[in-house]
Amino acid sequence: MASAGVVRPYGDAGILVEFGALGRDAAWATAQAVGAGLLAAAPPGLRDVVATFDAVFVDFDPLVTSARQIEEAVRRCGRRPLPRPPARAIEIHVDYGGEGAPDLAEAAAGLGMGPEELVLLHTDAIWTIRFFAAPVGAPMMDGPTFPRPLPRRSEPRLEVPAGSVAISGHQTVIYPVAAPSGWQVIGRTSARLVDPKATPMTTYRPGDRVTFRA
Amino acid sequence: MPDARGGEALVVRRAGIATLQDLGRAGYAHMGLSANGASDVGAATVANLLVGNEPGAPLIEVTASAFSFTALAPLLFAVTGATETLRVGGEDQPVSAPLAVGAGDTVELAAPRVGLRSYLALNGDLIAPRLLGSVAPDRLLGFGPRLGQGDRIALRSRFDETAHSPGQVLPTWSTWETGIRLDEAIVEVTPGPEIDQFDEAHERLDGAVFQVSPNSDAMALRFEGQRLRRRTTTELLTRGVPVGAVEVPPRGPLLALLRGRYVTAGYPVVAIATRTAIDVLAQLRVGQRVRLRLTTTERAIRMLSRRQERLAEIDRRVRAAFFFADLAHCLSRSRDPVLTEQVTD
Repeated sequence: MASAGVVRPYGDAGILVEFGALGRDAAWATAQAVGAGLLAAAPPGLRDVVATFDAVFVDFDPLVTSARQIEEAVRRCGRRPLPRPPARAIEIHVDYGGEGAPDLAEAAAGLGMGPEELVLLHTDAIWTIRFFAAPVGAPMMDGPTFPRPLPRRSEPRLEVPAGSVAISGHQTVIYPVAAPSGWQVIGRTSARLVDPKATPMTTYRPGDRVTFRA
Repeated sequence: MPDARGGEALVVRRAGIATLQDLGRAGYAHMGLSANGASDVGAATVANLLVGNEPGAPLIEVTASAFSFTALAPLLFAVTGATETLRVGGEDQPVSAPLAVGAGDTVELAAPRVGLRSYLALNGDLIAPRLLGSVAPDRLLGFGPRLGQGDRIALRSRFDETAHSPGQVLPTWSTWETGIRLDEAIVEVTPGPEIDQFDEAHERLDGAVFQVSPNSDAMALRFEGQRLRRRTTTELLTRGVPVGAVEVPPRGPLLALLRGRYVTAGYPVVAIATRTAIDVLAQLRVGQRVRLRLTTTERAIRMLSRRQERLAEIDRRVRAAFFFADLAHCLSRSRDPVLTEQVTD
């Protein structure tokens, strides 16, 4: 499957491997398998691996290894994927009103629906965590398809509060800490998501299924 | 070998904008964590090598401001980066050179006229809290405060040379060239994955001049100048981005990502600054002009390799100079430095 990845240079110390052609779930599963496999194999010169929806960014030291060697390591990971841990069900309580949901009305309008309808869509769905996004351990999720992809805000916010639940495209993310964001904030949760000093840092991982409760 | 002495090394008199830094916490991008760390890796590494430390030892980064401290114990230190004027006990001393002071001596770094960031390294191990192995602040996690007036910094060091009078201990021969320029800075970039989504991007970017916008911050510089025209409006799925990526938001100036950047993002990436060019980005002031230059990964890696050779040369000369100054016991590593071999295929 990893042989279906398109590999391109990404700076002088990185490559980008894209699996989009495989279709949504296969692309994600392959990207995650390659990411986990690279981290486990830890080839010399590997610095960081970021596996996302359908791609893997590999950051390496070009004075130790090369893009070609890293590409070979990527192919090997695809041929022998690591077993995936079982998916767990997680419930997250969200307040979809007031000052915690500054973009709810505008996001709903952008999707051609009323705010209550958007909340129903959001809470009815089962969302799958695909990877840990910035700023730290943010659960990046997808699941239902919105009537159309929701664009990012034209002006990102300098800061959204910790616990902000935001949407963009067909995805949802929660910000574990206050952070800049260009996404539409439709609610807030008081759930504690991340402890950078703990191992593991989060109580959830890619593959887990999330339902939101108003 | 005598044991390293631990204790308070200095008290901050004038803090300006200063933080403890090292080379950051790489290896956690899969958790969404940025590496952070010293912005000008070259200058920070040279500062540490000049005082016989490991390249990644904690040190002080001073941004755009003056900084001064009073030594509380004998210290062997060096200052690199943007600041040009260094005074010890009121007397001018050279930057990019190992200097010795005794308890009670005051050291002043002037605010830089040109460039942005300066580095102050002390022989030994700065004692400071670490997160995931690094002292580097992460603003989003609320880790790592700015230094303040009156702060006392603790250090474990074998340097106890009260025999040296305040001033220069070892010869100045640093061959380090900073990327700091008064007027126009050259930033070399390689083409990004989405470059072909923009009309004539190769021609428009190569040699293009931009101005650093006041809206720049620790996460990204904003380059005011020509806007690129994208052929599609399809938004990208969020994916990983390297430090140095040049992003094209739907509106507004280009973004050049620095070490505090989010590891995942969704704007199209039209170019990526080379590893050596990132040190140039780290020294850009608001209002400064920047000229982009398209290059290849092969040329970029050759430049990085040459930089590594210069660092190895500085390391070898320092180690020899420490030996002849009876300071070999202060060196942090006992083995000879090894030039990392470049792997070719």
